Amino acid sequence: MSGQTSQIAAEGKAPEAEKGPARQSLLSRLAQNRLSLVGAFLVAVSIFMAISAPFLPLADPNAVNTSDRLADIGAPGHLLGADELGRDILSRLFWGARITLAVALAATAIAMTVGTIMGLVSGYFLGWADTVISRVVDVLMAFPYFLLALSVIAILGPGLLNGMLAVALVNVPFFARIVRGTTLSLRESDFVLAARGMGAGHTRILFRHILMNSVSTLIVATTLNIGWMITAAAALSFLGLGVQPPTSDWGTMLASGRQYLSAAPHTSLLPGLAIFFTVLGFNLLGDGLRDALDPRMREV
Amino acid sequence: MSRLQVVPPKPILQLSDLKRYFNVSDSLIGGASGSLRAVDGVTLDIKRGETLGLVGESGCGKSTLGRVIARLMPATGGEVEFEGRDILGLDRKGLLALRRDIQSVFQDPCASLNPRMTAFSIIEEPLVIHRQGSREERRARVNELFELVGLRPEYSDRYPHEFSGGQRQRIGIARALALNPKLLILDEPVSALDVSIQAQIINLLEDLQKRLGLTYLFISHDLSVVRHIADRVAVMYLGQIVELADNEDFYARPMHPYSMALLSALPVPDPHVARNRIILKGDLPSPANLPKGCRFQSRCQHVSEKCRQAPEPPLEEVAPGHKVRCWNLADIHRKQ
Amino acid sequence: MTVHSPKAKAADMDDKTDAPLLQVRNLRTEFDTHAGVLHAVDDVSFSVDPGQVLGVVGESGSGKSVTALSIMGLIARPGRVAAGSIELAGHGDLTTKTAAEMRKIRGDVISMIFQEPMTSLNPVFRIGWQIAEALQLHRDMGRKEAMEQATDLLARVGIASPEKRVREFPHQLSGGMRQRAMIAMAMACAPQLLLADEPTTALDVTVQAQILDLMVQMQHAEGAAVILITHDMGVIAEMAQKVAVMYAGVVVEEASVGEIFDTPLHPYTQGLLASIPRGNSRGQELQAIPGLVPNLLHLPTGCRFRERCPAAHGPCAKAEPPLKAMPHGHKVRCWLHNTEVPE
Repeated sequence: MSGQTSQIAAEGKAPEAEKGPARQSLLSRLAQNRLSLVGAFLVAVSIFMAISAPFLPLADPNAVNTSDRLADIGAPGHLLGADELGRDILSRLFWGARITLAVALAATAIAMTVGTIMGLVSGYFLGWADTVISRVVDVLMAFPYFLLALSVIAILGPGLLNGMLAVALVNVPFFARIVRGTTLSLRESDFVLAARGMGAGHTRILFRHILMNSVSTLIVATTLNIGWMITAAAALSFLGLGVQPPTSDWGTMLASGRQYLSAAPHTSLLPGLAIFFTVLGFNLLGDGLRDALDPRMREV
Repeated sequence: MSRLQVVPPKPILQLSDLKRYFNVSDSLIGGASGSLRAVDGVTLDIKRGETLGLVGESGCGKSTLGRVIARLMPATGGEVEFEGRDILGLDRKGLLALRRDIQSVFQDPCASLNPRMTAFSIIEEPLVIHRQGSREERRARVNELFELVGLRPEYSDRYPHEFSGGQRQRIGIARALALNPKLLILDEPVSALDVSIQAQIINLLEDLQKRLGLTYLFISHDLSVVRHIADRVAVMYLGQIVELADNEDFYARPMHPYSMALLSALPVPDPHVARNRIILKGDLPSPANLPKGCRFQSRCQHVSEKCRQAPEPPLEEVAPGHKVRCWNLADIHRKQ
Repeated sequence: MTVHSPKAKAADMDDKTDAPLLQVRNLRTEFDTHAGVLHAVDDVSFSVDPGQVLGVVGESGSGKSVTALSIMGLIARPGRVAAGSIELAGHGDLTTKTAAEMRKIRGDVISMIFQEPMTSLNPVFRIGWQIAEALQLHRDMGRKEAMEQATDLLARVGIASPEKRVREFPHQLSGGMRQRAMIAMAMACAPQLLLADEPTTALDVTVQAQILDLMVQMQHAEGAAVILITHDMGVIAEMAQKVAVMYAGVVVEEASVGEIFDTPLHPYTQGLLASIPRGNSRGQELQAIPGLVPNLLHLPTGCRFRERCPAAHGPCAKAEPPLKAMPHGHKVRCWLHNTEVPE
């Protein structure tokens, strides 16, 4: 079989030649899209704010100082001014970033985990499990988003944790639907059939084969969802149903500043901009990730 | 070589009256529903060490038959015996053990390999599932399989999309061989490949069969490939075997009008061959809506009153080892 | 039913054809990719005479489909026709035409049949409407007249009860019938040139026989020239009068169908023919061509078939051989048949 061996040797050469586009890393593909770089930058800034708050020489975010009430931007001691109680806005923005991002990330993580499991189970096993889960999802989706979050808070009572659970619950159907869709198509794929043919059990098929191939979809959905979560959490806080004083996130800052909108617009404008740019950042990054992870783009 | 065995032992696989129906409903709101008879009463033996070529057009049920045998799909009726044991009624444990003996290779190597797993973990997976060997032993076995199918073990950490079509099919074959199976269901294993690569894979399959003593069920629509690789040929039409014969016998003397049409329709790579094609009328009827009598009557050149009135013709042995399902054989072959 | 060979016709076409219908010269079509410029078609030249069937054979990645799309003017970004000319008799160089001019030519003078009729027919429009569209566009026909003509065309491509079928949607037709409808659509304006890209690859062998038969009949009746793109040597042997063998973006060999099958000159063509399983090959190892089609972004130096070629020798690594004219109208791109070897 000498012919066979020489042909194998020759065939082996191919992957080296094929390295080009296929071996490009996700990051370099992401970097080719300028808008997603902007998004990544904005996200990085807000994450930096959240992480660095305790380490930076910032004023105490909760120190009340009536003499500095509504101090303007650039006032001595307050780079970005102070709020209606004389608290330093720069410091509060940094500390607020912690709460805002933590709530959004935790809520997204909860929603993603619960939604993914629901989607996997309903899309893979079908039958009555699918019927039950799909109807629950339908019911959840039939509610206006915010009304649902408000009803959860009405039952559980206001607070940071409950606010987080409320926004998480609202987003469970979003993930359940997406994962159910990918699961439905993947369960029919040849590689799942092949796995069954070698005796793989349901758990292995669900996690090694189906979930692993849903990861890119999930990453994109999650990134886009965090932006929505930030707005929703801020809105709850704005209504006084989320974070309770004295802790505050960008939503409560926005709410307390709104009474002084004409006298000291910066007190509400600055947290508003912080929310705006962070959400924009996550959305741009999510769009960029979608393009970078799209296998069709990879083939070119 | 297996072909030269004189006394055939008990067949490795025996199908009797195997059926697989699918439920279909015509419209969204209930409407007429019925069953699509994808496999409708197949009785067939596969001998140990042989390659049985199963040919037919798309929709004839050949892939479904392969999947029922590989226990990837339940049967609606009939029996399948592997090495004398019934395999349709196996419990979980028995089924897992059977998986070691019967493995499949699929048509599209791109779709049948998990794109998120490396070549190594794809080939290792059956060993992990069947808890075979330590991590080190498995690594050695995977490397051995890589070399067996003609791939370089250095490439084992690559993902399927980094390989070419032919190399991907080699990975698929290596995975199927991992557990030392006795029977391989090859479902159009070379149809998605370029001609020159196709030849490489066919050579590999033939070589593996000789070295490992494998039995193949080779499912294909390509009669030239089957002619090259198969020991016996079974022709399937609308869920049934219409002709079964030894390779030489089949290609020299096809008996069923459908087989004759199939063979005459095959484009011959020789511009000097004068063609005398039998052009079949129409398309394959839907297996959900079969005609009464012989299933081939709507497209048959030799159709007679008996084909429409009488019940379906049986699959009868007309010469040693040559079985045909047709009422008019005598008439057809007297004319020619 | 015996089918008349299309080859018989080549003879009676010969005397009246001096100028070719289509002359492709040094065509180069490129695509921009992340990893650089990919030359999908790299210096391709061939000609088609009126009424002739030119078979273009090659494996995936050989550039055969891109060649067809270049002729149709259907190369879209990130691709472009970068060099060369495509002369169509009476219409000039197609590469210089504007998009509007090409729209007039496409579907009227040149038309195309694709591999998968399900994706090339629009699923939301009725069959008749889609055929009539070409007639309305190019023949200034009214709706009613065009629909009647469409029914007529369906009857001519052998579709039973065409009055009923014109009102049906693509998914209601079988694969073979859809391909018939595609042919009806392509033939609607009696084009001078028909491009058929793997027209029967997605079809079963008995249906393939029907469609090939129909193509021969239609080509006979209309006198159209056909460029038949396929990977199947059997289909080539049956249909083509002239054959161009493509490999990695270039034509490596061109000759009459008899020459190609009887005396193939290029090692690739020889390998391709030897790798086909035949009646007498049972029990023997098939002559496979070792290796794979090279990545077009990383072509070897010199001859692009060199790394897979059993006859590769000194000059092959130095320079790419030109397509050289040989006796009997044979052309081959190989240093084995070229004495002007580079030093």
